[in-house]
Amino acid sequence: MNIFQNTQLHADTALLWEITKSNFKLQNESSALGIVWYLLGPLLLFGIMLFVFSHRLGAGVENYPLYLLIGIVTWNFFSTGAGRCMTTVTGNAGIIKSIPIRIEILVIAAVIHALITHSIEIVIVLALLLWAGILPILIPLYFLVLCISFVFTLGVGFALAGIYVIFRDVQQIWSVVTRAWWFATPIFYIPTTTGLGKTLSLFNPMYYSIHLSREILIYNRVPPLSLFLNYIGMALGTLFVGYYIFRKIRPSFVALI
Amino acid sequence: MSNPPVITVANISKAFWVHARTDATLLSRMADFFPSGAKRLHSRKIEAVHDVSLTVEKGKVLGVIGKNAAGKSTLLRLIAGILIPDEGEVSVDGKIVSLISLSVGLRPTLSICDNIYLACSLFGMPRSQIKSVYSEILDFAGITDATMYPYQLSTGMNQRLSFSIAVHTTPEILLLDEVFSAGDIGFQAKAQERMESMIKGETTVVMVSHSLERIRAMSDEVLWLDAGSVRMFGKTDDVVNAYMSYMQERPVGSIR
Repeated sequence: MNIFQNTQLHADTALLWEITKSNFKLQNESSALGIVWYLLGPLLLFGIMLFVFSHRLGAGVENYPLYLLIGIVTWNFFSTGAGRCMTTVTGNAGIIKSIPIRIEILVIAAVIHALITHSIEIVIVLALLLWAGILPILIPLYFLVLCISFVFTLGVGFALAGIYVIFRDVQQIWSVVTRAWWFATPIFYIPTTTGLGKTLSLFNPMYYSIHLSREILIYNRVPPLSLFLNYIGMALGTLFVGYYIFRKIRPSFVALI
Repeated sequence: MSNPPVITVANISKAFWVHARTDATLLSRMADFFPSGAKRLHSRKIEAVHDVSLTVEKGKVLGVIGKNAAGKSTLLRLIAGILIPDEGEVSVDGKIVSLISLSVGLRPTLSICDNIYLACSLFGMPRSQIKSVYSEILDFAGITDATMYPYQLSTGMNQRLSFSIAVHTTPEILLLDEVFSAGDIGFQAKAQERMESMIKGETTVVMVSHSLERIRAMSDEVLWLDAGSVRMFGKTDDVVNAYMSYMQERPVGSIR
C-alpha cells in the first residue's frame, strides 16, 4: 500500500511540475516581452500610484514607495492566483473529460504559477530594500507569511474553481468584489486604528498578509504572535471551506464543462 | 484456466441532466429555484448508462458496440473513474490509460517535446520513465522535429502523436474510444500491430469501435449497448452477428 501511495505521490508531483511549467510557457507564448511583463506590470502600477498618492497619503509613512510596492505585489499574488484558479476546471475540460486525474493538481498549479511570478517581484522588492539601505534580516519570517498566503489563496481558488463551473456569473461578481476588497485593504493608505476601518481590517485576511510583510521586510520588526495566529486561522478556515465547496461540486464537473 | 478479472462493473447507472442552456448565468440559476423555471431550463434527464454489469479478465479484449448515443463513451468514462456512477460499483485493478479523445492533453502552442512530457505526466508517468520512452514516442508517431508545435502539424499527425503517447505509457488497462481512425492506412496497421503486442503482454483492453471488422478481429468478448442498457454480452461472433442483423433491419438513419 505504501509503495502504491509513494508511486502515486511521485506521479502527482511530476504532473504538478509539468502543468506549472506548461502554464508558465503558455503565458509567455507569442508575447514580445515575455517574462519582462511579470515585472513591468506591477512596476508601472507602482509608478502611477506613487505619482498620484505619495504627497497626499504617503506623507507620514516611512519609506512610502516600499510600503506601497509591498502592498501592490502582495495583493497581486492573491488576486492573480485566485483569478487563475477560477477558470482551471473549465479551461482544462478536454483533459478532465478524458483522463482520470486529480483535478486539485490543476488548481494547485495555478497558485504555484502565481507564486513564481510573485517570487520575481519579491526579488525586485529585496533589491530596492537594499538600495534604500534596509537589510531585511527577518526574511525567514516573510517565507512563513508567504506560506500562509499560499494556503489562503488556494482556499479561495478552490471555491472559485468549483463555483465557476455551475455559475459563470461569478467571474463578473468576483471582479467587483476584488475591486471593493482592494479599496478596503490598506494597500496605498495607512490603516485606521479606530472605528469601522479597524473592524474591517480585523476580518480582512489581506490586511494581515500585507501588514505582516511590511513589518518584517521594511521595518525589521517581529510582528505580534496574535497577528500570525489570526492569519493562520483565516487561511486554514478558507482552505477548509473552499476545498469543501470544490469537493461538493466536483462530481458534476464532467457533465457541466 | 481463466485469468482473474481486472475490471468488475456491478449494476452501474449514470444519468445526466440535459440543460437547454449550458452556460449557467445568474438569471438561469435564479430560475432554477422555481419549479416552472427548472422545467423550462432542464429539458430532460437522460439515463446514459442503466444497470450495466460486466467483468473483464486480465489480458482480454472487450469490444463495445452500439449505435451513437448508446452510452459507450460514458461506460468507458465510468470504468476510467472520470465519472462516478449514480448507482452500482466499478472495481479496477491496475494502471488505467484512457484514450477517449485523440487530441487530449495536446496544447497547440506548446512544443511537441513539452507536450509529450505534459501528456505522459497526465497519464501518470514519472519524468525518468518519460525520458526513457521519449524517442520511441516520436519514432512511432513518425515525427522528426520535436521543436515544432501541434498547430503546425496536420490533424492526422496530431492523432498519431496522441496515440503514440498513450501506447507508450505502459498501461495495464487500456480504454480506447474509436481511436483506430488515427493517421493513414500505414499508421493504422502499425497501431494495430502495437495493440496486438500489448495484448500478448497481458494488457487488458476495452475498445469502443464502429468498425465491426476490427472488433471481430481483436475482441475476446463483445458488449452491445443499446440506449444505455446491455442488449447482449458474450462471444464476439454471436454478438457482432446479432448486431449486424439488427442494424440491417433498422431503417437507415434511425436513432432509437
